Amino acid sequence: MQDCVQAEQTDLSEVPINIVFVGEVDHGKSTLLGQIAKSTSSIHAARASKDLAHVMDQFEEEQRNEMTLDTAQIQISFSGYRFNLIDAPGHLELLKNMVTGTSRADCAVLVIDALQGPQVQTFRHLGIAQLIGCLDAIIAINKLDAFENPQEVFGSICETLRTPLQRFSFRSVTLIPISAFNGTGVSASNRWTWFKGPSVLEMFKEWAGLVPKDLQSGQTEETLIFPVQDVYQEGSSVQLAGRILAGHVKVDQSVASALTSKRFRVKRIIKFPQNVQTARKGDSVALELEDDQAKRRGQAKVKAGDVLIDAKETSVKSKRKITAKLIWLDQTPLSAGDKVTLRNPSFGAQGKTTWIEGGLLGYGDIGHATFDLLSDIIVRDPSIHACPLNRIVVERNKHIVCGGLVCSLPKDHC
Amino acid sequence: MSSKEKNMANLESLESKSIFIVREAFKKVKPNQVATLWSMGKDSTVLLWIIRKAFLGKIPFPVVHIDTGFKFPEMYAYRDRMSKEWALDLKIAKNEAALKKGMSKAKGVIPCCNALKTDALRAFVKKLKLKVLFLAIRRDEHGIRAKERYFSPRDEDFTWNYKDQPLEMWDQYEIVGGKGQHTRVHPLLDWTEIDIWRYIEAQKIPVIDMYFAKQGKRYRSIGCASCTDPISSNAATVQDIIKELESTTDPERKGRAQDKENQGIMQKLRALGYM
Repeated sequence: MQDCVQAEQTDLSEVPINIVFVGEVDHGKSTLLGQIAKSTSSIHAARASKDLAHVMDQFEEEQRNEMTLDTAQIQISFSGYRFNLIDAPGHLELLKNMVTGTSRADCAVLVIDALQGPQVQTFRHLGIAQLIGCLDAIIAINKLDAFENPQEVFGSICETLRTPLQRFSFRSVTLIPISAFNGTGVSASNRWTWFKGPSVLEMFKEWAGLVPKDLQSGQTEETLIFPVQDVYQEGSSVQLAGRILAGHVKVDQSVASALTSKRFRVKRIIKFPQNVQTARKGDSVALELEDDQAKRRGQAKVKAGDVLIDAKETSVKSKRKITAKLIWLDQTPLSAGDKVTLRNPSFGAQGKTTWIEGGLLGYGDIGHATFDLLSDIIVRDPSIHACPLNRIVVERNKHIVCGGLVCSLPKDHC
Repeated sequence: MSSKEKNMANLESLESKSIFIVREAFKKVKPNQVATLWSMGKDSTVLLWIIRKAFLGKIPFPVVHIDTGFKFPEMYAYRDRMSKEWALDLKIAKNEAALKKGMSKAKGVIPCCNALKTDALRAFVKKLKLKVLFLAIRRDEHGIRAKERYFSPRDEDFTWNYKDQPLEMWDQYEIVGGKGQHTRVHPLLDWTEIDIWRYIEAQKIPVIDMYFAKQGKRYRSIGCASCTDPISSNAATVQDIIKELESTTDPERKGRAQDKENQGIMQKLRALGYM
């Protein structure tokens, strides 16, 4: 009865791929996720026997009202890969929960109810997924089992989507006809014969082959970016604690403070309980530095929030004027002159808005804004490379109300 | 990459993120406003291990055991041995008043958990004026825990306002600073049960003996003696446990009474401040 995807030597040790499910309310995100969890035997029998959407919707209120309140996550494994599936609520009022879930994702599945077609929220969710870092997307056209001629309906929705999709720039977008309820189109063994493209799970497998190369990029030529998270002092030695955001670091490497341009030599890399010769992107370590320029004794003075970069690197700099593309999530809109705090992996800095695309960013809007800051934050030249250092959040009244990416000023800025 | 290399890559990635979260929470408040909970179970023991790594060999804040008085004797022995070995600043949180009045499972699982765990912790957090409390919960333990944030704000009354959780993205976290409020921090949220065991194996972390099978029974999850049942198993080593987990579809907390009574019980307990 159950469409079981047999685990062929599943290697549970793989770094998982994070996939978020987005789209309008009631288009079937939680049901699709429940169907995938069930058909990959990822949940125990008691949880699988219930309403498919309830696999993820575990709050009593969610089950009673048949709606997802908050994001949730479940890990599945099949075909030798692990995936974290992230459910996100569709209601406009719950956008901050949707963004929380989406910010953890590498790829997105956008679910569209074929009975209703794409809605405003459909494209907003897709825009958010792209803005905050999803590289690839599946568009799952759901509830096609409700039609006598699913092929025709699928074709016509694909046609409707053609123009709006041109606004987005994912690495890949794949349209798949499905019935989340029946499992049609979810795995290769249950599909409409007229559709020659991949099933949802086949696409996941393809992503798994792509994404880890980006994630596990210890061997790439990326430049070192090491935000100093905290400074620990033990006797006379100072340790700079932090996680490497990009590139790698070696003992004896010449590094520089992005804030002061002062140069240092890496004396020790501590990965307690060992000292190591090199560390790479993603590693939490503590560094001990030696002053490289002056021969005088004494400890390197680098403060928390500073960013250590390769001494020859010129694209990472401290800035007091920032332009960013934002998803605004506060009920009170963002207007020019508003006082806010910006945070990225370096410092937090207070400042104010100087310009906003369209004059105002309301709840759920995506748009550009510029900020003048009272102190430095360190970013990478956005025209060179997408860099995690350029991920910022905006804080107002001590709460994070917005996320976005540092970017170049848009051409139509006036 | 070979399977073993991938294994290490995954564990290192989990470990590094957990260390990042621990350091982030610690730097946002004063050192004397932080504590971590330790149940002597595998997860909170792994968390202690990770905290020691984060601070290069020490735990710069108290380690709290919520003692219901109903724990297994082996747990007290293990607690005292490890506290000494790792030089822990061990603190015991115990609801003596409720115990004196005869609180036990006989009065109901929910009232007992609330009085001996949640109330004991509430009094402790208040006494030490804690702002950050580390907990070793994981998403895959329970559907309700899958809804948690890494940093989860709690009011003075301890309630979890799960209907309005903060926006949390890209390693940017909020600490609540209001009077009586504290933030629960969950560095192990991303880990699965099998990750924990692979990590214990790779790092050779000393865990309590109760996890290993004797006469065909072992504990998969450990709580109070009155409310925890062993499972049928022959897994006598960490490697055996990993093999067992690779094939089971039984839930981890199968042997825990507080998860069984009805569907909504975990939500109720957690809304009231249960771990």
